[in-house]
Amino acid sequence: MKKTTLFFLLSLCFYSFAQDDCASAVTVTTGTYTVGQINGTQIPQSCINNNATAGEWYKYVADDSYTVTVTTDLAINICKDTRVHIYSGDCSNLICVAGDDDSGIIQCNNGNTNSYLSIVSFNTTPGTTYYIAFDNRWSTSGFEFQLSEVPYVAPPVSFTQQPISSNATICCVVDMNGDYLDDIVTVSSNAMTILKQNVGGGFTSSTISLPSLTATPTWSIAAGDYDKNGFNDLVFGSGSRLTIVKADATGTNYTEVPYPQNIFTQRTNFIDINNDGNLDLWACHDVAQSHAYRNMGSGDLVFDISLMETLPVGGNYQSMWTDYDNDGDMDMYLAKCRGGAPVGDSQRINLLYKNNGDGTFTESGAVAGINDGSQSWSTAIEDFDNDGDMDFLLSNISDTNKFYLNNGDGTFTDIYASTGIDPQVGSWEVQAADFNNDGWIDFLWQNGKELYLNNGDLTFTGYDLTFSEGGIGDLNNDGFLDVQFASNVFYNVPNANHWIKINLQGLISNQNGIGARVEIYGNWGKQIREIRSGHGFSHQSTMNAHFGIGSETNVDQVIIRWPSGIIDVIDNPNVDQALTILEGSSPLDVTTFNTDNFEVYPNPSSDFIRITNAEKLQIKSIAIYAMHGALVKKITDGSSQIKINDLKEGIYMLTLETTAGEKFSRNFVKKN
Amino acid sequence: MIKKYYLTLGLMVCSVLLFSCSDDDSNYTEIPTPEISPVTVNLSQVPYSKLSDYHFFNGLLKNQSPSLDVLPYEPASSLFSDYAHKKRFVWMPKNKQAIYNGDDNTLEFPIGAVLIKTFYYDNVLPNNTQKIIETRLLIRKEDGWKAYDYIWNEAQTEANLDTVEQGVFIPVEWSENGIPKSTTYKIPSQTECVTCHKINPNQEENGEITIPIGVKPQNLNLAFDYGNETVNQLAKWKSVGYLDPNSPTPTNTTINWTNINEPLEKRVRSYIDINCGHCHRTGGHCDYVDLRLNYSNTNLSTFGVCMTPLFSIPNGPYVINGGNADQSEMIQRISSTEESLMMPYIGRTLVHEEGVALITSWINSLPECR
Repeated sequence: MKKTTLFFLLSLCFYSFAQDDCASAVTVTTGTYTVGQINGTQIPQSCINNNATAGEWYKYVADDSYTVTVTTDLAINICKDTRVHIYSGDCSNLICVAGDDDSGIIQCNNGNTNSYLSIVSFNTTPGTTYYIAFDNRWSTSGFEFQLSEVPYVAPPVSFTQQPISSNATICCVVDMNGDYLDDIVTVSSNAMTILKQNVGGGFTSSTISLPSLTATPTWSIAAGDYDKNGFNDLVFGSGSRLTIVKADATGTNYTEVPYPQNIFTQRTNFIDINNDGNLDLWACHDVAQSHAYRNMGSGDLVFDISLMETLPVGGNYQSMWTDYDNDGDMDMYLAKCRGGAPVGDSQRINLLYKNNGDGTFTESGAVAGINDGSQSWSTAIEDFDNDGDMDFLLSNISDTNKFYLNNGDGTFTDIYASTGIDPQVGSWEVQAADFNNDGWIDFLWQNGKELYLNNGDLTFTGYDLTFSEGGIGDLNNDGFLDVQFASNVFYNVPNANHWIKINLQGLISNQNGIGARVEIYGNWGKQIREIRSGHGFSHQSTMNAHFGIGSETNVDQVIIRWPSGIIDVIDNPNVDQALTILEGSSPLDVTTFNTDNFEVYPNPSSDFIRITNAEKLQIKSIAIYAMHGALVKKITDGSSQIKINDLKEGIYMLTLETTAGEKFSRNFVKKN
Repeated sequence: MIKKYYLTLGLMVCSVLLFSCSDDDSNYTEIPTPEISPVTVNLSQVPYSKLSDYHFFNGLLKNQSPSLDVLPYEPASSLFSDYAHKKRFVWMPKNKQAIYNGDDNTLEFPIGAVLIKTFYYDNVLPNNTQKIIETRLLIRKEDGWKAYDYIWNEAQTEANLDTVEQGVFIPVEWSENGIPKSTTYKIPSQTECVTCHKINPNQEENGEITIPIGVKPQNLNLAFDYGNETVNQLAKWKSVGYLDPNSPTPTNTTINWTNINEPLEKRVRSYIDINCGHCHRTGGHCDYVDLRLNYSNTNLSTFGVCMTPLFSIPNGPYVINGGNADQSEMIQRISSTEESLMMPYIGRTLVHEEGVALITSWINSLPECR
C-alpha cells in the first residue's frame, strides 16, 4: 500500500512536469506511471502510422539485457485508446525500435469489443537509453502505463545479418565451383552473379553475362550437374518459360539452353526419373500438365512428357522427390492448388507417384492417405521423428495444414493437431533443416512463427525471425545452416552442438548423388537425409547432407545408398567436419550381407581380373565403369574372369549384381 | 442534308445500274437487294488460317474498318496491357442474340458468336508508326468458347493463326504522350489465354469454362461513337438484334476510370474490376484468397480494406491499409514487376503508373485501419 502511495505521489509529481518533448523526457524504471493529457509539442514520428499532433515523452535506461514491456493494457484504462512508440538513438536522431497501437486485449464494457490499448516489448542493450512516446492520434485523454522488465533470454537459434548486393527472393544457395562450399547465385535480366564462398570466409563475386535470357527465376530455381562435367547447371522457371543455364567444363562460363514450350513454371527439380545414371528435369506447370525433360545421356535434355506423365490438368505447384516407402527408388509427391476449383476437384488434390522401380509410376495418394485437397503450395519431407522414414509437412492455403507422419507401411497419419504448430494457413513456402544442430529437423515458413524448432517428440516450438524462407546452406562453413534471402545473408550463430556434413560425388549415379539416401548412426539411433534438387516451393538449397548430432561427439557409421544401388559405408568418421564420398569408394563389405566375401584380383592388373567366390555370389552381371562414369564393359555370361587388356591405364569401378538383385562394387587399377 | 442524301442515293442506284448493265445483258431491271454481310464463320472450319478469311473488315485489313454486322464496342474501363491500345468488335450469326445474366456476369452469347480484339501500339519508334501486334478471337462453339490468336505480319497486311500456341515475345518501343517507353510485349500462349478467361461459375468439380471478361452489362452501359451516331451500347446491341430486348438496364454500372469528374471510389472500383476482378471473384483463378474485387462487391471488408493478407508480405499489414497506400499489399503488388509478387502476374511487364496513382490516392483518402 505504501509503495502504491509512493508511486501515486511520484506520478502526481511527474504529472506536474509535462514531458512535452524528447529533451524533457522523464526517466522511468519498472513501475506504473500516469500520463496526463497528451499535449506535448514534439510529435512522435515513424514507428507506426503518423497522423498525430502531440506527444508525451519518457525515457528508460537499460542497465542490463532485458526484455522490456510497456503496456497500457491495464484495467484502469478500460475503453481508452492509446498509441506508443519506442526509440533508441538520441533526441536529434531517434531510431525506431518498436511501436504499438491496439494489441491490448482488455475488453471495453461498451459493446464487448477490445479497448484500444497498447502493448509493446523490446530487447535492451545494457547502457542504452530508450525513449517511450505516446501520441494523441486517437485520444488526448490521460491514462496509466506500466513498464516491466524480465531478463533477456536468447532464442535457441539466432542469426546475424549481413547485406549482399542482391534482391533475389527466389534463392539459390549451392556449390557452383566444385569445392563443396555453398555459394550464392542471383539472377538479373541478362546476367547471373555467383558469390563464391572463399575458403577462409567471405565471397568472391563474378558476374556472367547471359544475353537475351528467355527466362529469369521469377518462380523457381534448381541446380544439378546434368551433363556430368563437375559443375552445377541451373534451371530458371518463369511464368511463361523455363530455361537452362549450363556450366562449361571449366565452370567459369555459362550458356543458355532455351526451351520454346510455354510453361507457367512452378517447382522444378533435376532428378534421374528413369534411373539411368543421368539427371532428367522435372517442372511443375501451374495451368496445364507438368513437363518432363529427358536426359539423352549426351549432355542434352529433351522436352518429353512421356518420360513422366502426370495427370493432364493444371494446379501443379510443388514436386518433392523422395523415397517415402523405403524401397530404394525416388517417388514423387505433388502439392496441388487451383483457385475456383471446388473441394474434390482433381486439379487441387495432391498426388503421390510411387516409383515401381522399372521406370513406371503408380499414383498412390489415396492408398497412402495423403491425397489432401486443401490447396497445397509446398511440402517439407524429412524424417521429423528420426524413425527412419520420411514424414510430410504440408503448407496449405485453405482448410488446415497437415503433418503426415509416416506409418512405415506405405500409409500416413495426420498428427498436425498435436504438434503445437500454429493452425494458421497461407504459407507459400515450407523448408526443413536442422538449424540448431540438435539432431532433429526444424522448419521455416510463414504461418504463425517463422521458425519452428523440433522438440524431439513430434512437437514444435515457434520462434520469430525477420525472414521466413530462402536458400539454405552453410555459407561460412561452420557447420551451422545459414539462409540467404533478398539482400541479406542470415548467419546462424553457432551453439555447442556437433555436426557432420556428407558431400557426395556420383560416378555411376548422377554427379550430385541426387536421390541418394544418406544415413548416420550413433548413440541417438539413426538420422536420414535425401539429396535433392529444388527445395521448398521456389528455392535451391545446399546439396550437401547436413546433420546436427547435439552433444554427441561420435558418429558410428555413415551409409550412402546411391540411386545406382551401390552402397558406401564409412565407420567412425570425424565429426565437426565435412566428409566427401566418391560413389563406390567405401563399398559395403559383402560379409554384412551374409554372402561370402569377394575380391577382385590381381589388383593392380594389366590383362585380366578375377572375382573370388564367384560361384557363391550367383553373378547376374558385371559392369566396369571408368572413373568419369562411362560404362566401358558389361559381362552378363556369368563368367568370373574379365579381360581388361583393352582398357586404358587408370582406376576403374567394377559393379556386380547378383541374381537376387544385390549390387556390390569394387575398385581396381589397370596397369599397362 | 436532304440534298446530300438524294445525291448519295442517286449515286448508289447509278452504280447498281452500271454494275448490272456491265455484268449481264438481260432486259429486266434489277431491284437493289439489302446489303449482305461478308462475314464467314463456319464453326466446323474455324479457326481459319488467316484473319482475312473471316471477312470481319472492309478494305485494308489494318484499318480494322468493320464489315456489316460487325459491331465495335468498348468497356467503360479497360485492362492495362503494357499500354497497348485495343479495338474490340462483336459479331453474331443472323437472328441470334445474347441473353442478360446479371449486371456483373458476362452476357450469354449465342453459338457462333465471335468477339474480336486487336492489340496495337501507336507512335512506335523510330518513325511514330502504328504497329498492330495481334488479333485475338473468342469464338463461341457448341461446346463453349474457344480462344484463337492471329499474329500480324511485319507488312501489316495479314494476321496468321498462331498454331504453335506457346506464346511469342515482341519487343516494342513507342512514345507514350511524348515519353519513350519500351516493353517485350507477350502474345499469350493458349494456357495463358485460359488462365484469365476462365471461371468455375458454380464451383463444381470439373466445372471450369472459358469465358469472355469485358462483355458484362455493367461495362457496356455507356455511349459509344459509332461514327454515324453516338448511342448507349446496350441500346445499340438491342436495336441491331444482338441483345435480348427484354434485358434490364444495369443498375450497377462501371465507369471510365480516367474520367476525373466521377467519384474517386467509383473510378477505383471500375479500374480494379477490369484489372483484378475476374480472378479475384468467386470461381475465379484466385478465389481461394478471400478478396472479392469484382465491381458488384460493395463490401469494403471483402474488397480488402483493412483485410489481413492471406500471404504475409513485408510492410503490408493490410491488403488495403486505410490512409497508408505505401503499406498496403495491393499497392506493393501492382507497383511490382517481380513475377511472384506482382499483380496481375500475367498480362503485363510494366507498372501502370497512372493506375497505381489512382489507387494510391484512394487508399490515402480512407480512414486508418483499427
